[in-house]
Amino acid sequence: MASKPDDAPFYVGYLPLPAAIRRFLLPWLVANFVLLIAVGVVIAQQQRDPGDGTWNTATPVTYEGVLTLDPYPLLRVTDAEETGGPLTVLPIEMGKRGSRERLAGLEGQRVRLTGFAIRRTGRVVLGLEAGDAAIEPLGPATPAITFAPVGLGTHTLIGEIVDPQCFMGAMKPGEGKPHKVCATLCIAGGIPPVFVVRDQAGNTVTYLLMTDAGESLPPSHYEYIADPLELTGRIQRQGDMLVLYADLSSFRRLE
Amino acid sequence: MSNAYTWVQWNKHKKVYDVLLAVSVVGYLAVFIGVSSLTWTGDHAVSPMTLMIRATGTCAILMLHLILMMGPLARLWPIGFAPLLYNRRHFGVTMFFVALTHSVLVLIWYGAFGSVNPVSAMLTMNTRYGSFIGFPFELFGIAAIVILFFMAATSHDFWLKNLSPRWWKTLHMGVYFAYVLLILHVALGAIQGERSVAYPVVLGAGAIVLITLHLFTAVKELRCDARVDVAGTADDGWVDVASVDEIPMDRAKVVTPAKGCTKVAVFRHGDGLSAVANVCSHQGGPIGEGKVIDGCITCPWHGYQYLPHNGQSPPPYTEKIPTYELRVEGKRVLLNPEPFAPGSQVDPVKIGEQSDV
Ligand code: HEM
Ligand code: HEM
Ligand code: FES
Repeated sequence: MASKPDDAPFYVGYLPLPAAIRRFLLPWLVANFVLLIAVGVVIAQQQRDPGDGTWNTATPVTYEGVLTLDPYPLLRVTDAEETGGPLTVLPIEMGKRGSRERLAGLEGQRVRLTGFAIRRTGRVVLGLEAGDAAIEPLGPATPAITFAPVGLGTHTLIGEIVDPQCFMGAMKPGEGKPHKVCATLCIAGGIPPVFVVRDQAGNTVTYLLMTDAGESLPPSHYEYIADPLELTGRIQRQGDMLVLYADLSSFRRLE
Repeated sequence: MSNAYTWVQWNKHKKVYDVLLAVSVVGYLAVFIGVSSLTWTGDHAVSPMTLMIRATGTCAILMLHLILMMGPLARLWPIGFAPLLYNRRHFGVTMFFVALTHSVLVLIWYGAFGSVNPVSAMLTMNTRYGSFIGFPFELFGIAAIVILFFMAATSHDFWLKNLSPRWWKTLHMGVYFAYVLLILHVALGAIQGERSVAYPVVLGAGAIVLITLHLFTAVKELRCDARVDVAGTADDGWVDVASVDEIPMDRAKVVTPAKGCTKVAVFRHGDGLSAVANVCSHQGGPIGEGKVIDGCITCPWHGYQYLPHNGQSPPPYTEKIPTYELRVEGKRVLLNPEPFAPGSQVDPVKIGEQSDV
């Protein structure tokens, strides 16, 4: 009458693990581990190219040139080592802030700026060092050299508004939607916006972005930062730099 | 089974489990960072901080998938997968800490050093709340980590007991909400920035596996619940649950006495039979899939124990589950479907002994 005991394995956490359960679980655990690693390899391997920007935080560099502040601070260097000619340096503060406050009063002056360089495709962003020594005023520029503007006509372009600090190498990658919050924070903090146009081969052309009246990008248009965007504007070459005077009403998001 | 609460009642299995867990997490992070560093090198290297953000974010969501698979697996194959369920909370808490690392690194890297505090930056710098594809995906991440925080913070049995298992379980069902939020977080975030199809494919495959497993389990459970599996009902309302020979020694037969009733587990132990509710007072584990060990009914999930004759955990523990009355007529076992209050004394019916009718 007594039924025979059921000897199916039974797991209790505080008792030894039955061998049958161990045999069942082991392959499953191994498979899980292999799967986990495989997914990690695939995801890591498939990340997009973060670009070839560099950010040298070890050795400060110094540039001497003529400073203009409107609408964004720019340092125009006539004979830069890296270009053998004109170079426009974008001075910013370390962190997500522009350098306007610290450079106030130096419009049209010859200055020597020291900081850490962020470089990509021939463009230089200079994160100013802390302390007064980073900004050395050298008196009024004589003559007031500004790179003579050359009009290149009005164009409609497709690209993305980025903050040059991150895009040029401080954060890699520093573009696209995952970076939108950061880019907006930088631009709202006074770092000049840059419009990046990418060709089929992935080569980029960067334009300093301002309104067609030559003013800084207004907060009303921050929502377009980091989104795929079409816009129309006048293009000017100023020395080595391309400046895009954009028609604010032409902004059209491409989604 | 806690008279005094300790942080963790350690035993060998929990240690092995946690070591495997730690090795997996560290191994994953190392592989992710290693492969990334070999893929994009020199001037094309991804920033180390971005790498950490990606390694921890993807690690956490992978762990969440494994966690969400355990429930259904343990119901479909109760014996084999029981050891996984046993220490799931450590898995959950570990996953929370990996996700928290991701969240904090993101707040520092993308949100700090600006004109507003990092959390405000996440919520105010992308204002496209009216758009689907442009929606600030960070919000989904924040909502998810808040939910996971509450789950991890209340994970200890102390809270389980004080919130009552029902509330606690409701809170834990929040994990599914967090899961949906995280799918949106990744689909509207990282995937918008990446160009490889690997990302949507992996995320989609994960979702399909999870949904399929849950559907299978749900259908199985519903079928079980809907079936009133008694052989008949006597005039006095008692139900005929089984033949004595159907119930193996130290094991139970589980029955649903009537539509909508709680399931009842009828255990055979020694020369007698006892019936208790099939719901463990700990986390609602299926007691009827348990076993009588050292004279105690032992829950298959975390090993809580109950005395067959009164549904009480042996002292010093204080858990109680409802008990039921049984009688034996010939070879048939009959059950009174009305439960007694949890912890009520009901003497086992002796097999072979006819109880007077
Ligand atoms: C405060 C909460 C969170 C914020 C602000 C946040 C923010 C972000 C950001 C900005 C990215 C893009 C990173 C990049 O590719 O550069 C991202 C990616 C990701 N997040 Fe989150 N996240 C949060 C919470 C979570 C949680 C709780 C999880 C998962 C459990 C998670 C999982 C992921 C995954 C899997 C990715 C994609 C991989 C990657 O590109 O990093 N996130 N998150
Ligand atoms: C952190 C401490 C946690 C403990 C103590 C714990 C353990 C449990 C257990 C055993 C249940 C109820 C049993 C059931 O009805 O299946 C439950 C519900 C659940 N919890 Fe937690 N968990 C914890 C945290 C988490 C976290 C952080 C996650 C995920 C990120 C998670 C995932 C789940 C899942 C998947 C369920 C659904 C239950 C089911 O599949 O039926 N848990 N939790
Ligand atoms: S549910 Fe945890 S021991 Fe029963």
